[in-house]
Amino acid sequence: MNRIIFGESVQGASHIRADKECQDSYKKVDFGKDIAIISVADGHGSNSCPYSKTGSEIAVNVFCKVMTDFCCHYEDNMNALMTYLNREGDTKVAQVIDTEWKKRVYIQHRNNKREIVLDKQGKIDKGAIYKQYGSTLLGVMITRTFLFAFQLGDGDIMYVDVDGVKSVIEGDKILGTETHSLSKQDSWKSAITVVLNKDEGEKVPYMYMLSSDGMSNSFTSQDEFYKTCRDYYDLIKAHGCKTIARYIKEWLSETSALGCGDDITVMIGYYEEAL
Amino acid sequence: MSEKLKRPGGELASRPLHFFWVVDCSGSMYGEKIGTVNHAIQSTIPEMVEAADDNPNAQLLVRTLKFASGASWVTSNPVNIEDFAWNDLEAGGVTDLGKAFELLAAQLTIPPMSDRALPPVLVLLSDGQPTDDYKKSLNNLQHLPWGKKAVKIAIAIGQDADISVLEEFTGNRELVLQANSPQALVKMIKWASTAASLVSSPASKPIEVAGERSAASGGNAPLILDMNNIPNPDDIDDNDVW
Repeated sequence: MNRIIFGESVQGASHIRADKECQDSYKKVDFGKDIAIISVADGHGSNSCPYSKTGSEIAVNVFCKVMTDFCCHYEDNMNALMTYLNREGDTKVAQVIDTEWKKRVYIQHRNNKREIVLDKQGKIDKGAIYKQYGSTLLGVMITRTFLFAFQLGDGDIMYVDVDGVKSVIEGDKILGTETHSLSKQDSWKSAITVVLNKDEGEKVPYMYMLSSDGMSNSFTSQDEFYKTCRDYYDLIKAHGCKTIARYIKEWLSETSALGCGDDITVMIGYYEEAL
Repeated sequence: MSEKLKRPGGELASRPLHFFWVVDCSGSMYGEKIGTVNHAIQSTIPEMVEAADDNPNAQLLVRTLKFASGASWVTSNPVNIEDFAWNDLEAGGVTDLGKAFELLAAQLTIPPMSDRALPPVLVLLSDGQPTDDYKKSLNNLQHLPWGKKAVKIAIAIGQDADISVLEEFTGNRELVLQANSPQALVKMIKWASTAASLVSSPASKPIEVAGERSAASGGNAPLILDMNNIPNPDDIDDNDVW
């Protein structure tokens, strides 16, 4: 089986007008030939979150590092890892991600000598510091035998094969522009995870697609977004990942300009039979 | 050379932003008050069009709801701000605010509202006290998903306006703007009209969970308006106080 992972992040049309940087981040890690880890994070971008680009960078780094550590630990027994993620994904695993993100944010804040906010008792108000770095987090770990998906906040993780499009994980749909955030106290409680057995149901070629909410918010309806996922799949099948990778930045920029104006990040993991 | 590939995908659209003017047309508004409202809202339209032009990724849709003896839509469907025309309102009758809340609630359900919209903006203008039982319909409105997320602003026209009712509507005392003169009313209406451009940003923000909402937000939508630039009534040169 061939595995090709690619994607792109673009500054939203409204952010270009406002001269604001793109606050999304993404990362992929290949762990051997059988395991891929992909992550996308969307920094909030509102005025109260001025360092959310840094927050989203830390988020994708933390997800990939935590998953890599698990892979190292369970390298000889992936079934045990699957069982562990199934049982503890939205508790212990989410807590590790939450704690590590906050630890790194605080270190980053101090290292950059940014203002330390104090509460009424004169103690360091870490919550106020975390808020300035607010970000969502999407992530998947795709192994030969199972998929682990993680979602905290908005965005989409989709699966597409010849039979159609499915949402891998159903995140909370919050109206308006609010979202769950790593910056909140006990943010792990808002995390949703799923473990899917890969032996069943997958029809090669297939793809996983992770996207920040700027993507789905740019379409008139969920059906149109699903149609888009399917179209990407069909184009990749017809023209290959290399060709689509050349176009994707332009397409995402156009999507933002004609859609909701937000930053957009799309990461695709495409699996096909080896030639 | 191969043909250039076109962007794949479904139909794209900017996010709708619904803006509601909710105007008290009871008998006490007769004369200068309703005249000032008509003039002031009319004069905000070009500025709202300009603000909408600056953000093509939000589609600003405006509607007007009037209430007196009963309530009714002046514009029956949402209208693009570019096509919106103000029809002068006339005053007469009692103050059936509850009926207005009922009509608003019907429009803030999903559907007809889309779940991909930006938070709606509701601007309520009133000079008196409700004459019907408004509490049940207000409660219903405030418990709708979009009712909770809506940005609610009230303009109290004159000193007889029931501030406590307007505060129940906004959930925030700071968003009840006092207009005791024609000059103040014009300024407050203009300020309220700018809320649309502030809501239209796609930037996300962390959700506030129960128990940690600020007192200022009153348990409603997070404050996204710049409260520092609300016109100060003391700075307004009043010739004629209501």
